[in-house]
Amino acid sequence: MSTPLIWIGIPIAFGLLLLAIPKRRRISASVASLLSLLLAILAFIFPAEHVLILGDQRYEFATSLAWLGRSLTIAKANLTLVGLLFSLNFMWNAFSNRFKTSMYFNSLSLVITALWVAVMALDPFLYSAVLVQLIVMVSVPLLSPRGQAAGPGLLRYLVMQSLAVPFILLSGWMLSGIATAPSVNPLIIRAAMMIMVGFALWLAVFPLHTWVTMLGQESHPWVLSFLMTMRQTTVLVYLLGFFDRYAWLRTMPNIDTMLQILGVVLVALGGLLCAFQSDLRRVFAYIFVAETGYAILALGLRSQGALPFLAMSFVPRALFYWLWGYTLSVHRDQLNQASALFTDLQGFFRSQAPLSMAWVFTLLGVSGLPLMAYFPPKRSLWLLSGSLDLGLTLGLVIGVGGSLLFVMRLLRTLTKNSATEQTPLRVPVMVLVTLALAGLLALAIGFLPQVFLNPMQAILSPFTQLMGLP
Amino acid sequence: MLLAALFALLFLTAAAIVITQASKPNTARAWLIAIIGTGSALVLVLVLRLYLPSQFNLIVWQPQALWQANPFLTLDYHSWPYALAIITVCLAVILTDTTRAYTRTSSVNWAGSITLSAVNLIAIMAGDPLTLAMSWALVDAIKLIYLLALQRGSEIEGGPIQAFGLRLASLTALIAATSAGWQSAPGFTLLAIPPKAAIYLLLAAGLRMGVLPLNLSYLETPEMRRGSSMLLRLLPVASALVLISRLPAGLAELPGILPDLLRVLTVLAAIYSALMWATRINAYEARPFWIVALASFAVFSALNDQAAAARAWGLALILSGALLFLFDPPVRRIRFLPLIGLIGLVGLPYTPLVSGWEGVLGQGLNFSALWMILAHALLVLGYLRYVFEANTPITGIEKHARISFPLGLVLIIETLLVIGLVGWPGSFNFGTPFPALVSLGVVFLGVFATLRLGLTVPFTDLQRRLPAYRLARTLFDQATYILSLRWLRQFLAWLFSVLSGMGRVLTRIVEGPGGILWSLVFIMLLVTVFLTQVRLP
Repeated sequence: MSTPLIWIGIPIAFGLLLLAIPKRRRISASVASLLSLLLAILAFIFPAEHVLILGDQRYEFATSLAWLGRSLTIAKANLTLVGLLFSLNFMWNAFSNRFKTSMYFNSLSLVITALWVAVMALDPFLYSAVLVQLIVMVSVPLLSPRGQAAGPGLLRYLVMQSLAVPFILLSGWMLSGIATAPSVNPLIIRAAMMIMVGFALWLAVFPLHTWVTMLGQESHPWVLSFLMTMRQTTVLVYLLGFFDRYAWLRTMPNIDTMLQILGVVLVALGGLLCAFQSDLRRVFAYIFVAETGYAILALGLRSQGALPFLAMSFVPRALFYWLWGYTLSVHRDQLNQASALFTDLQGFFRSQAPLSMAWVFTLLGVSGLPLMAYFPPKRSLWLLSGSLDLGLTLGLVIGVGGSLLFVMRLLRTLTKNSATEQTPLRVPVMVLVTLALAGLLALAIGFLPQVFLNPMQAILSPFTQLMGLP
Repeated sequence: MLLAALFALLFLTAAAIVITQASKPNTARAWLIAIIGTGSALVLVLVLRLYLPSQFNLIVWQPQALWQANPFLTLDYHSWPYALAIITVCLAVILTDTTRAYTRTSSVNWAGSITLSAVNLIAIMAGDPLTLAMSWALVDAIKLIYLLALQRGSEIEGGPIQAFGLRLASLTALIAATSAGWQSAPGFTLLAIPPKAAIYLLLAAGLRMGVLPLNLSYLETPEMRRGSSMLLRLLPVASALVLISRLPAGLAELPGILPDLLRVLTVLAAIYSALMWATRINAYEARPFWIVALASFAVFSALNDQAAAARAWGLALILSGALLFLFDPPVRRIRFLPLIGLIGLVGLPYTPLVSGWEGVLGQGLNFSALWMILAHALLVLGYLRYVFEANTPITGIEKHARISFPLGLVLIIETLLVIGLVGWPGSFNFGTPFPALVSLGVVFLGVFATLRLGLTVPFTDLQRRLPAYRLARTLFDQATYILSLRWLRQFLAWLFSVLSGMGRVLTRIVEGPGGILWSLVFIMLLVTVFLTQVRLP
């Protein structure tokens, strides 16, 4: 037995098996949730020596698995991320059968999660780009369920993601012989730019973000929020891998300044563009852009010690993405509201106050409002960037201001008197309980970050060079 | 430990009211629990005066080297008078509520008042920017939810949302201040604010109080007039006032025209609000102007590098204000009680506000100080007007309310006296009586002129009685328009629609059929700009 088999092989096998029973939603959701939960727990409690002792039985696990001339390696250092990914998969699967998503959601989400784990485990790691492309292919049936025509957003998603692969692969091959050359080598700068463009395409960096806005309008919010959360979490860690492995990349002159400026520009643009939106389904894209900005800013502030905050931001970010997906899905599937346009949401507070407040709560939370889960890591990033240069703070204030302006506009719309009479809409009690619990969790994380967020720092333990670890 | 006991007492009292009311509703019992709990808290705050400064560490975010955060509460000479004022006003609200406790929600309101007071106590005792930010966020959230719930059944105007937006802006300014402060003093506390952070903190406090820029975003609604709702209006201002009183010296020496500009804006806010205060139809309609006007005096003191003097103005705002606003129903026979409240507002020797004049005259008796004295005279004039207009011959008040209602008002007066005597070292002094006397002189002139001209509210016959009325009216309307900042809001709305239109065009381009190509063109453009700006080798 090996660790790659547990966290890659088993979920893929289960995912493929579940493909055979797509119409048994309750069974497939239960199996996918339970398996994800088990794998997540196992990842968090797995012993450092890779040896499990059950009674008088001793089970030793190999950390590598050779396959097609490549190897997949999952050591103890990688297991925090693996645990996080399967926890996310659990969060999305546990509530999936309440929504009208693709009938393959449970099976394919298991496969996708396993593939994201494989992206981090594959050696030589550059080939992971191909796996990312495979994930894109697998996610197509989720984004465009059977019987529905593929929208332009999906096509753009495919094009953009496919474009990223050659950028990443070519950069690696270009540098295969010159990794030790001085960083002023023009080839290195070219390769660095290629890597950046490749990641920009993967992470939907402005102005390559349009596929997310378009998918937001076309696809189910539950599916989109799941795919984007997994993508952002893993691709960011994968980007850290590049910086860890390539000394030329992390020691390039001005790279930190570049990343700081890029990060702040993304935060500011994400916030500003968000401010002008009048369709809730499109907003996720701009939140995503701003969040990518924060992650890149943290990478640029690594000399100031910001990387732990990058790792710790994965949990609150995922929680708010989940809440966003959940509330929009309830609005769409349980309240049967086809539109999330501002014009159709006028006075919605009067008919569905809890859901309205949940939207506001989520947006404020993801903006980093004090007391909420995201405040501790964001506060640290704000302070670190401010202590370096107040110009960075100004950019961040613009970004935060933009998203807060959107919250104000949303609140205004929700509480406005509508032309038509608002009939009270009822959501199941379970939805209210779920929202309350998620809200309490967000507050608990915000108040006790040492309990909920500190363990996430272990995600960085494989990056010994980047962290300066022995 | 006493600090922790204070919060435990308040929260337990609120919980006890809610739980007992849920199991077996009894308004009298709930009132008694509220009185005993809040009364004990008041005694505890008085005892805490003997242990100043006191500190209480909240949950520490570990490891400290990583989070650089050590949230703590502190009770010192800046925050103690406010703590006493908040508890007093809370108790006074519950005592005076006996004349209004006819609704089923009264007991819930008392629990809410006590909780709100406790949360605001956290805000005023915040020892570091982190605790302050978290407590402000909590207070703002509570206020928003309350206002939305209050108006759920009726038309919700933009007021509560605008007010919430301004408070979020204030929070952003607070975080920016922390960021600026960290440049020179990482991990600083509010007990030693670095000068770099001072201007941002002033902005944060000014935004919260509606002074910088002048904002009266949420004018009163009938539901917010009385009792518990008044706390929602007055208390959140207290934490901003404490923050102002902690600001370091150096604001007067800010570079460029900034200090003068801020001073002019503050004086304008004070004059405008004081004028509006004195001329509204009733005290409830005038309440937002009372807050802004007195908060302007606090800001003005800080701008004169006399931040500690802001404390006196802040306490006048809360205590004298509460005394007047809780005088409801306005019983003629006891209107001498709110009149006594003038001792907290005039600033004569050996009264709490006498220290406040040091803040106004911090830069000497100059042009702006004279305007502030005029604004003060208008405030006193308005206060007198609202007290003397109280002429309701009330009958039918229950026996216990005949005692508890005036008792609530007397309690506030007592607190004014206590703060004047032992509020902080040097609070009981002769001070500078000159500005108070000038102000009183203006008040007497004002009263004389009003009586002579026979002016009465709602000033419907001004056109006939005042010379050059039309010119004065036009000027006043223009000034009101400018100072209400409606033009700024209209300009911002126009700017937003222009930018929004540009955004829509950009979206159409990048999401249209040629969008991918356009995106690639944009990114190449950005990469080129980036490479040339950062000057990579």
